[in-house]
Amino acid sequence: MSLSALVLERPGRWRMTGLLSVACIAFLPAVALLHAAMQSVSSDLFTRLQGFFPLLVKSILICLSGAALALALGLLAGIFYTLYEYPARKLFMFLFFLPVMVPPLLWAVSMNSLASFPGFTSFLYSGRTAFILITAMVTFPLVAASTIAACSGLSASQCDAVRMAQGESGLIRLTARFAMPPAAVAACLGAFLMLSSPGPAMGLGIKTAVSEILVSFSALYDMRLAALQCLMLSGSTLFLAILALTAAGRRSMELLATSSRPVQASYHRSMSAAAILFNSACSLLLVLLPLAGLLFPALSRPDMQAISTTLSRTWGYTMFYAAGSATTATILGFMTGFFMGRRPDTRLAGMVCLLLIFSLPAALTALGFVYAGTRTPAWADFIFRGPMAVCLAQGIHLFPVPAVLAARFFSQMPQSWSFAAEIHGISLGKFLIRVLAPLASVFIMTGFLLALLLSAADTGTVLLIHPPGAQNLPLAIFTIMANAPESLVAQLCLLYLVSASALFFLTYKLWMNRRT
Amino acid sequence: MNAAIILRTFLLFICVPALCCLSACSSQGEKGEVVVYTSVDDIFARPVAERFQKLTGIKVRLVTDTEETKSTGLLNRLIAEKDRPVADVFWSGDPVRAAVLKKKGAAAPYKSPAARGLPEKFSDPEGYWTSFSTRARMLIYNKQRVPAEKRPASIFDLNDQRFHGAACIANPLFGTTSMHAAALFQVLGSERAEKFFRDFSENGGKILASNGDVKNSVARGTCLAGLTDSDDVNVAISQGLPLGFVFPDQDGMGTLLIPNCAVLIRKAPHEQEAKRFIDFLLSPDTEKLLAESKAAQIPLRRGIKGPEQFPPIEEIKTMDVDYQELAGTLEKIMNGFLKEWTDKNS
Repeated sequence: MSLSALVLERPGRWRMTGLLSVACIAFLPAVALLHAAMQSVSSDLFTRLQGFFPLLVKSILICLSGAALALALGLLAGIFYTLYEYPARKLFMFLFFLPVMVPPLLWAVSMNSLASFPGFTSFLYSGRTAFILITAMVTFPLVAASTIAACSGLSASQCDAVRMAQGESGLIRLTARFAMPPAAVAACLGAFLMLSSPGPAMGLGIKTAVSEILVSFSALYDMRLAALQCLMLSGSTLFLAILALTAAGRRSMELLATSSRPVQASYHRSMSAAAILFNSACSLLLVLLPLAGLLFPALSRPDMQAISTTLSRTWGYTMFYAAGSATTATILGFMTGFFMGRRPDTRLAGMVCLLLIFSLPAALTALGFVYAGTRTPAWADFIFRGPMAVCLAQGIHLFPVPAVLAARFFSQMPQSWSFAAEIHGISLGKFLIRVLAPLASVFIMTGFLLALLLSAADTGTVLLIHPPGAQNLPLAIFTIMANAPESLVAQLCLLYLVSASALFFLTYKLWMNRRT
Repeated sequence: MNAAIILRTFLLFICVPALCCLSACSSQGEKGEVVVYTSVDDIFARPVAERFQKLTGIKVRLVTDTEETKSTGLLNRLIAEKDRPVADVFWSGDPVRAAVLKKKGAAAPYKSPAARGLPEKFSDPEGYWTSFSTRARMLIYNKQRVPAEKRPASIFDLNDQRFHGAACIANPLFGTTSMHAAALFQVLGSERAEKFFRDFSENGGKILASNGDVKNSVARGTCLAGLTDSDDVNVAISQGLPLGFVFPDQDGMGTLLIPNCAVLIRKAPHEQEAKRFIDFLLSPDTEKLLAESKAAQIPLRRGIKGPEQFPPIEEIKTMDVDYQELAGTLEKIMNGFLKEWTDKNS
């Protein structure tokens, strides 16, 4: 006896149970570690935490400033991309993704190098302004991608009607309202990603909450203090995220696609020109100048031996970690989206879990793996101590990104499909594989791609749990950058960027083939 | 079509790298290998590991640290793993982290026969860590902007008016700068050491992320003078950066030396190989190798030719530090003055 496809439209405890199971997988490593750290909490800990709170508020404000900038720019970039045809449209979108492909610390290095030039760049690329810019650079493509994915649910007839009634400005308003919730969530995720990433703050020499956690953990060896600070960080960001979600409202989330004809980008003289200007300005500020700072030293003569040795040592693990993490993240993300469905209670519970997971510093999950690795039998080493550990830890940290896209997919799936499947006697399995999976492939590939890029650029998790002798390329760059010639570091960065771009391009082509 | 594309994607992204990695990992856990965690810079540690591998046939699996969390990221990993360690040897860039491992019960005693000739004052008397080749803390200045007669000679010169707003040090909560801070507290006493740090901030001194940033900042002229390690100095000079260097306080308290340390990890999975690696690290050959490398480390043994740009150890007036006690001093100031001072000034 097979399950009916109608089960997707029915409420049931299985949704909450499923969500709880995914949450348990995600939280377990961090909770185990926090529990061990909190075994004996002394009263002076709370006194020391008082000084952490103002720093936390300051860090949240800085990250939210970057996220707000990314939201404003990324939403507009995504809308322009969806609605209008203009020259180099895809090239611009590709450029916007470059910052995500590079570990954030390297952007701090680039900013430091740009800050040494006199004038405007020294103001723009130093201190807190630079941190806000890095946050915006990393968050911008997440927002743009979420906007584009969300806009795929817009119907062409709906857009045509609004265009005729209210003109282009009305259409942009409608699209913005439609794409705002996932874009805002993506902006929050980007902000949280930066909030829990110590590299840029350390590189720029500014003090943030997570750099303070690093001090507690790495310099003071006070795991309990670090654990409490992590909890405060997660709690505060979660509170703010729920506020933001509530403020975004539900109305636009409920605008579901009713037509199978998706909106097509078209040429519009003034809007296309505006799109080119806007994209050029964004590219210059958020991509090209920082890229110049990072890659300028690469112009000198390459040390081919050092480059080939480093590459041959690291390429396999770079690919494995990135692909494994993205696969883990995509599977967990789509499971979460599936369990969230379209019911408000499960969606809210799911979103709370996702934000909480994303707000946990990646190092906490990674150390949870280290902790578990020492307390499990040797046969479990392939999970906790091998290359697989990196994939799992990164996947667990990053799965909220594909989960947001999955949640969007399952919420905008017309209910009539399940009813049609039921009427024609199609089983749930067949419905999922033959109907939903192909339709979700755009979301799956987008989620996979974003997770792939984010995991490839992550160094925090890999640093803590990579098996001996199994470095990836970003970590290799990270570990030699202190004393290796600037040109070698820049040339490795360039190679990494080219490889990541090639992967990105390949995935994009596969995706486009699928669509056509 | 869909199935073909999904299959192609799967093959491209999952199977190919997975097979590569599985083949690469298949040799893990074999006998005849040693796992070495090191806080020494990757570009300096790797050639030494490769030399050992070539000489003995024992495969070295190296785990290095990053500049920003130098010594501390790995140290926490070692402490977390101490009940069932992965590492066999910790090659520390300084004695403080080695002493922390001893204190946390993650180190095992090993008195290597290869340590003959190394001065005992730099090592743990119980054999939990043994020191070899050393770096020195150095003052650097921008040669294009600071005339030779105005170059700093003492760390106290960083607080002089001529370097107002233009002196820098790395974050004193991390790495060798934290060890230097502890040494100052030990040698000068709390009152004078605290005064040094207060004067530094009052003179507009800057706290940067790392010693590498200190080097770059002084080379670019953003700062005029700073305090960093001798390996950073040597790399900068070999890159043609306009930096001058001074062994600080040769007329006063002396220069702080930061020797490398070899630590055998308790319950090391490859104990015999680990001991052979430690013997190799402590040998005169390794001291010579490190002296000739870009790390330009100064041999602790007398009679071994050191780097050309630096004088031999017997010609340097060194700071009289009790290396065994430094970890305790550091812990004390980290939870007190140093943390407060850094919070206030960064």
